[in-house]
Amino acid sequence: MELTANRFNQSAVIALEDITLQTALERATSNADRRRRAVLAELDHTAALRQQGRASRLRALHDLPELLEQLEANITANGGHVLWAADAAEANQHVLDICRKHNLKRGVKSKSMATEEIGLLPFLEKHGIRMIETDLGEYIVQIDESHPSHIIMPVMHMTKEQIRDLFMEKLNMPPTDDAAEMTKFIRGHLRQEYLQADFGMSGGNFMIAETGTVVIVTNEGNGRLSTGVPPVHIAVVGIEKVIPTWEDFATLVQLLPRSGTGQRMTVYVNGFSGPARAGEPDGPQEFYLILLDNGRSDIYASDYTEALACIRCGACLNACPVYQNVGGHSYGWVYPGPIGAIVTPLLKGKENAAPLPFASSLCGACRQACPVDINIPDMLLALRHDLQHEQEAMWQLGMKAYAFGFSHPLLYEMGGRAAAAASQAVIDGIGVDKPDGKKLSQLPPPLSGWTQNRDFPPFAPQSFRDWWRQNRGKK
Amino acid sequence: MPSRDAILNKLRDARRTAKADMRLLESAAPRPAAFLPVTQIDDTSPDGLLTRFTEELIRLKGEVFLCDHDQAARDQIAALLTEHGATRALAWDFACIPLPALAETVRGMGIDVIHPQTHDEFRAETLSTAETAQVSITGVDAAAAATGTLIVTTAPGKGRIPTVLAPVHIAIVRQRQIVPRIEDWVGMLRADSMAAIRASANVCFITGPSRTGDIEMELILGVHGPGRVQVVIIRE
Repeated sequence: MELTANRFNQSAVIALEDITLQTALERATSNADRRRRAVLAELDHTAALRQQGRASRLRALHDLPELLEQLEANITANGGHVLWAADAAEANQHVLDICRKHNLKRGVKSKSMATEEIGLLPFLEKHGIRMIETDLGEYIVQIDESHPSHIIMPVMHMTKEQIRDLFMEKLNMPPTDDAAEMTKFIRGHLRQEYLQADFGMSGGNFMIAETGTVVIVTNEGNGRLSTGVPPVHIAVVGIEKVIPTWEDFATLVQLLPRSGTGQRMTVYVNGFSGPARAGEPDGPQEFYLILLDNGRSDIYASDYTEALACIRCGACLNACPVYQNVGGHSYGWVYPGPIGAIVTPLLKGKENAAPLPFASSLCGACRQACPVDINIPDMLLALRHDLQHEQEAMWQLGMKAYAFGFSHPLLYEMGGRAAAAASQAVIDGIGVDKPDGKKLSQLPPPLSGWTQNRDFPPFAPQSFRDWWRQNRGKK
Repeated sequence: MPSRDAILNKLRDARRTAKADMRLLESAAPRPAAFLPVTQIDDTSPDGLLTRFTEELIRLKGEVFLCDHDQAARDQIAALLTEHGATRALAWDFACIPLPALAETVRGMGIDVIHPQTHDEFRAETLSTAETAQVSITGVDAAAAATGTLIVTTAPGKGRIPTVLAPVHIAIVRQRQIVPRIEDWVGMLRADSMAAIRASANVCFITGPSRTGDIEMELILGVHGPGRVQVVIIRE
């Protein structure tokens, strides 16, 4: 999809004024965050489990090249094919080559952020291959010709009425306001797609090296139908998703839904270790795994390796006060929210997503919510440091002056007096319009930007230092 | 294979540089001798596990039917098939379902039983017939009590389609198949070097009926998979 991360500020302002979106965001993020807290609180050793999950991910990243080789060897031994893709173009080409080799014309797909990242569907469409998204949310996004706004709740930005109108317009759904009826209609609508598809596609939430198993998690069952019914299965998975053993998996696969949707387990946790074995009655006869780099090895080699530990649960999105207000589309690419504000600049170039690391109050809610304790705030801060040169000259000069003033006590004290005098002058000049008379609602240029959306508290007439000098002898 | 080698070489080169984040990876806690299980389970007696499994599955809007012996289980399944007005059922080979004489019970009701085979030239016909089945009947490899999870692997006679295509999934579980947690099932497989996973193309952990919350986070069951999961447990 097109990268518009540099328009974050403009997009965010539009999002903030979209009342429908604000309602949808408030409902979705607060519900998901509340459920996450509830199902984590019921565990006896939440903190220890989180560290156990984190250590699993960090060890896996440390051994990444060896685990990828082990995974490849096991899948190949099981009769599957493993292809490597340095970038999006190579991954897309692999899929197209497979389609041509087996004469595949129509596919069904379960939800995958990796295929969204490489722009697979528009690419296949251009080459005459039809691909249907089968996750309800992703299907809505597909017929709406838009993009998901959340990693695990793709249409959390839409209301039921918007979805109803879309189904009625694009699919001739009979009128109904009932979400159950709408869902039933889509079940019937997509049924034949599964049965007639030439191939199925998926991403992968985990890849277990020791047995060569790719795992996807879905609640709807579309993943099991998409990968189990058609004769060919192609999975596109980022190289960072590999873990060594089933014990690591058992921890992570339960931390994922508890953090993401507040479920104890996802309904269908589906593991594929190659094509159907001899004598098995169904399942794909051809199995392909495309291992996607597309910038991940650059992250591995950077100072931000920890970002690759992410298991894409979406908890940091729901917990983030910025995401809660601006929604996923403002971030301008596939991965929104706090983790997106790290991953997008690293995968697409820092200068192409410069506002994102600044779209955070560094409050730390993201790290607190992260099931594998990724230090998101520190990475955002480090990215800001890397992006210093992207900032306006005025801002840079201001920050330098600030640092100078605060490291020279005399200058600091004089500055405080000057500020107090200046704010008094503004009060005398334009007055205060608040009942308590204590807040300035309008500052003169060039400071007027600050008061456009908020008040400014005037400096106290007397500084604490002066007060201390006067009063320190008194009882 | 240029991309393969380029990617692996780049990862290895990066690791050799030992930058700050590489030290973070090196400092990760070593693999524990025993992993901490995620969920707690107090009563691991056979009846304790049965109770916990039942509670968890009901909480997810699944259904549990307890039967004291094989005949009771067959009667229960017959009652469910009647309730669903079943004329056609998808099923694993009955030899793979641990309930003797179930085939006779089901066929005796005049129900057309399909064991879908999708690897032959009749694939399209098989699928379009299978789609019309009202119910499916399978066994399980194991059930995990703490999460109300059914665990199924594939093998000759044990397909994926019967676990997911029909609107109702009837799963038959013997009480001894209930393990405390997913971690305990993994532990059992580990004792045999994960042979059960290696022998199978697919493993699936099924926890309750198919669900979605995509439309305004309203819970809807049965979006693509079965909206009803009915587990018949035979006590031992």
